[in-house]
Amino acid sequence: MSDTERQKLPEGQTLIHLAVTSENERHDLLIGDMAGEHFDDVADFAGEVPKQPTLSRADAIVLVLDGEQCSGAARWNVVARVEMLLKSLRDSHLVEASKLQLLITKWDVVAAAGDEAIEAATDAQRQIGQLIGSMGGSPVTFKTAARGSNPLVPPGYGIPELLRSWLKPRPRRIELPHPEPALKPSDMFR
Amino acid sequence: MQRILLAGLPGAGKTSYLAALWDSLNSEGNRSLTLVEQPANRRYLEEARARLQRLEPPIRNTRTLTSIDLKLATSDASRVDVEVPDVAGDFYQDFWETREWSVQFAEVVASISAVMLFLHSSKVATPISLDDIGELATAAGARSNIEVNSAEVPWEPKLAPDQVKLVDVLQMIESQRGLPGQLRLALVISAWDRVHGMSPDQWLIRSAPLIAQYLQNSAFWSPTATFGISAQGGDFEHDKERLVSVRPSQRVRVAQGASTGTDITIPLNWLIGRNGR
Repeated sequence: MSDTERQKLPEGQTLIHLAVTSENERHDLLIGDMAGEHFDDVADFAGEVPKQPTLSRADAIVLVLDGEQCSGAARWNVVARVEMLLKSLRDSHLVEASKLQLLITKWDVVAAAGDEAIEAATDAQRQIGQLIGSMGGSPVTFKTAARGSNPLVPPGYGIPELLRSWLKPRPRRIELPHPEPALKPSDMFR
Repeated sequence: MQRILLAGLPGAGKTSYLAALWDSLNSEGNRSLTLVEQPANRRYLEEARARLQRLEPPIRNTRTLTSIDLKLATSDASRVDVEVPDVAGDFYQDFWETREWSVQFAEVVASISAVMLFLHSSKVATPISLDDIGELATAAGARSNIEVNSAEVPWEPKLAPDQVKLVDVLQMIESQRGLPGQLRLALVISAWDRVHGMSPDQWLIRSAPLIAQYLQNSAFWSPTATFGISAQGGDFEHDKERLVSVRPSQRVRVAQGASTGTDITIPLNWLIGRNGR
C-alpha cells in the first residue's frame, strides 16, 4: 500500500512543464501526470485511448510499475493489468510501441527485500517487456528510488538516466492541414 | 453467435470459472480456444480476475444478469463468437422457490445454444442410504434406543437439496424450450481440488445421483459431459502462501474422464461443438 497521497482524478489533462539544460542546451519537457483511474479506463474499455490525446501525442510513454507490488505476491495482478493496458494501446493503433518505456519504482525497497524480490520484479519486467516486444517495441527499463530507505540505493537512484532518455531528439509527426477538396459539398447543389 | 448459459446456485463457482477463463485467455499457453479480440467492456472480468489473484471471494452478483461477449478462435482457426450470460445464483434459487422467472430470463432461455451447469463439490450433501446409516451407527457402537434432542425444523422450499433445485431448473428450461429440440450440457463440478481418487463421472454418480440419473435419461439434454474444475487451484485459507504467488491461469486444473490438464477452455470448446459429440 502506497503512503503517497492518492492523486485526485483530474477534470482535464494536467501537464508539468520542466525546463532543463544538458550540455548547455535547453530542453523543455512536458510531463503528463495522468491519474491511475484514466489508465484503468483505458485498460478496461475499448475506445478509451482516443479520449486521452496525450497518449498518441507523447514522445515517450512510461509505464510505471510499483516495485513493491511487482516484487511481492501481488505481482501477477500488476502484470495482468499492464498487459491489459498494453493490449488497449495496441488495439487502438494510435500509439507506437517504440515510445513505450518501463519504470520500476521503489527500487530501494525491492533491493532491501533480497534476491527473491529482485528476481520477482525482474520476472514481471520480463513478462511486460515480452508483450511490448511483440507489439514491435524494445523497451528500456529504468529502476528508480525516490527515497533513501536503503543505504545501498541512494535517493534519486535511476532518475538521471530516465531524464536523459527523454532528452534524446525524436522525430516529430507533423500534421499537415487537409488539402482543400476539389468539390465542396455545397457545390453539389448548385 | 453461440450463447452459453452459466447456471448454478449461489457460490457454485460460475464467476470463479469466468475469472480463471479470462486470465487464461489473456495468458500464454496452448489452449483449445484463444481470444481474437478484446471485449469492449472488460471491467467486470478484470475485477473478477483481480479478486481471484488476490485470493478474495468472487464478486457476489446479487440478482444481476451480466453478459460477456467473447470473440474466440478454435485450434483450427475457425472463429466463434460466444456470448455468456452470467446469471446470479440467487435467481436460480428464486426460480425454485417461486416457480417463476422473469421475461428477461425467458428471452435468455429461448436464445441459448448450450448450458454449463455448476455444482460445488463441497456443497452437495452426498446421499446416505438408511442401510449405510445403520452400518455406520453399528460401527460406532450406537444402541438401538437413540435419543433425538434436536429441535424440529419446519420445511420450506429453500431447504431442498441443491440437486432437487438444479434438476427443477433444468426441467423448467426443457419445458420452455420443448422437444424435439436438444441442448448440449456441460456439468462442471467446481472446487475439484477437494475431490480425490475418482473421476468427475464417478463423483457425479456417487454424490449427485439425482442429477446423474436425470441427465442419463433425458432426451432433451444431449449430449452431456462432466468436468471437474478447480478454478481457484486450492483452498484460499489453507493454501494461501502457495496460491497467491501463482497466476490464476497457472493454478487451474481441469479433469475429464481419467485425464487432468490445465486448459480451462475445454468445457467451452466442447459446448460450442468443436470437440465431437
